[in-house]
Amino acid sequence: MSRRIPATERLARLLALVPWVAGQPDGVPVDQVCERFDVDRDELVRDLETVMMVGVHPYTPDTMIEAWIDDDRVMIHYADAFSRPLRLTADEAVTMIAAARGLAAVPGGDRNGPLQRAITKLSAVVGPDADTAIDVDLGDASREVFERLDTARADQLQVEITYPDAADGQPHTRRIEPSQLFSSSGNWYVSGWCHRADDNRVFRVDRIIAAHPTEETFTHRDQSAPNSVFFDASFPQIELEVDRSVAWILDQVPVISREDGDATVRFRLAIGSPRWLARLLVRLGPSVRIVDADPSLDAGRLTGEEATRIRARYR
Amino acid sequence: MSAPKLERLMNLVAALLHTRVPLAASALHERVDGYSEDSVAFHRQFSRDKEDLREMGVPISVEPVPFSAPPVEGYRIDPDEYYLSDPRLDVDEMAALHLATRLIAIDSAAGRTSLFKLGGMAAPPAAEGAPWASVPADPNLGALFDAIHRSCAVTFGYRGTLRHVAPRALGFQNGHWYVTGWDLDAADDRVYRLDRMSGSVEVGSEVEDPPTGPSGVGRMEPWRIGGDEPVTVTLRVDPIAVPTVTAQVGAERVDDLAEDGSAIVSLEVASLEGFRSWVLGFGADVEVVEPSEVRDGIVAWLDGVLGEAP
Repeated sequence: MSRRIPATERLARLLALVPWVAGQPDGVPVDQVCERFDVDRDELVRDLETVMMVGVHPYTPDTMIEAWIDDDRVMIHYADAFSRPLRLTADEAVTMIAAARGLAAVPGGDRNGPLQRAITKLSAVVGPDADTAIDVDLGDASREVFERLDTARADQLQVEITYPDAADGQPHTRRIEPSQLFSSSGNWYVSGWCHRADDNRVFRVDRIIAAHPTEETFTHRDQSAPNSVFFDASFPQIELEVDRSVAWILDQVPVISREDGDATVRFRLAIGSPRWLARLLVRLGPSVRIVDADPSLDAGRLTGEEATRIRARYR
Repeated sequence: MSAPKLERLMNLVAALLHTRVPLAASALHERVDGYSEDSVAFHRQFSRDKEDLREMGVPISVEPVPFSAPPVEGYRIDPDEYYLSDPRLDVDEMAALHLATRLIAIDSAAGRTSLFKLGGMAAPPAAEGAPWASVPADPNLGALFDAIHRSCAVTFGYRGTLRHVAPRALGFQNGHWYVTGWDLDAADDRVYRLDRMSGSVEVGSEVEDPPTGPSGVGRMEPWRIGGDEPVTVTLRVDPIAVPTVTAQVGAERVDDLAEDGSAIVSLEVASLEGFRSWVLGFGADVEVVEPSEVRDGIVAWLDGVLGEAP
């Protein structure tokens, strides 16, 4: 007995597969059908056996769908009721357009190419306003920097990047081996092996001041799981409480946990950059209370220093 | 065994699509192969089948059977509602959509089934690397999209109250889905986060001529969304923060790029609170130059943090 696939899942596939094959009277190579509809040959044969049992009352031969494999080609004839696929559900339409809009919004994404044409055509079918009704923003980044990183990642070339240092905020040049480029919580990141740190690091793409691919190649050393950077277990943690009125700031902050009270919100953060924490505390201002903090963070002193540094610009 | 059920479901769809008049359940029992002879068992199977098909998006309508006395309910599928209009996608367009669903991983099975319906996974893109982004599929996305498409009002729970909104656009930003629209109770344009809604969104009746607002959700620019009297604020940005600021505000707002790499940027600010939080996120790398009341506001805030009287 093969693995059980729910009947509705097989039905969904057949309602798409049958019209597609039936639309081609000379049939389609078996391999091509399998690839397009992500089905193996045995399963396809079972599906076709089912299709041959489908028809309308009184189920005389002239009312039945004909389906067979001849010379390694799949043929489906007389599938009149299934001449077109089932329309897209709202879930399917929104998913497809969101994915397409997301890819189109990638820095340097082609705004007049096949993807944009596909969005326009799909919108015409699922709703005249679909194109403007869904917007997907994955983050800002300079097109030039993004494209250089993406090319270097694909070609496995080391890149020199200029990046503000987490400790002193000053720009430093470092060499990285970009292994992944990804968007998370509205920002683009590049992760990979950093020669300066001699370890894996993650950088925000919009903070990279300059990126220059080198001629030197690399082999992957970065073993970290994809797209997982924020909740590094080795990072010290802090728990804060803020008034509801400023809780909107948390929308842009990757929180580990969050508890909403009547007038306040409590949340926990893992801190990779103490300076980033200091700036967050300055932004939250008088309404923030430190509930619990890893002593290594020394948050109170850092915040005072950061506020003093900013204040000095306004003398 | 799922084959007999699959066969029965396909026969049921074929019968409902084929008929021009609504068919009563008893007629379907006679005409569709694969159901139990027993009437009680048939009704149980038939009602589950209807539910399964509706969940897949098959539009089964219920109408009275003509000339039936007493009136009997009948079922059919209107072909105009069932069939997908052909978007006539070219091969490169199909491939672009396939690539989009690969790189922008939307956590839902709906991407796969919609690709099937559009002609299968044509021209598979070269396999390389992990997806670029994972976009959560909120359970209310479909209902909200449907309501936008049909200009219907929606009702949902949000922070303990029921909201009635004529939705206009969906947006994904900062890792969250938002919906924007006209709030019928507040008589104002509002933005809501989907993952804060409690329970399911209910789609209500059509709203005639809801007030139109800006198209799209709009960028969640923290300095822009607010009720303050708009004021133009000038910033001096140190070279180290120029790439980030430029990416966030857009190059057209950068007025002047000095030789040392610093920049002058001007913004229309409608939320002083949002603006203050945003600008302080850059620490000492960005300075508010004018107007003086905004500059003074930053200074007063910092003095507050430092525990000094203004």
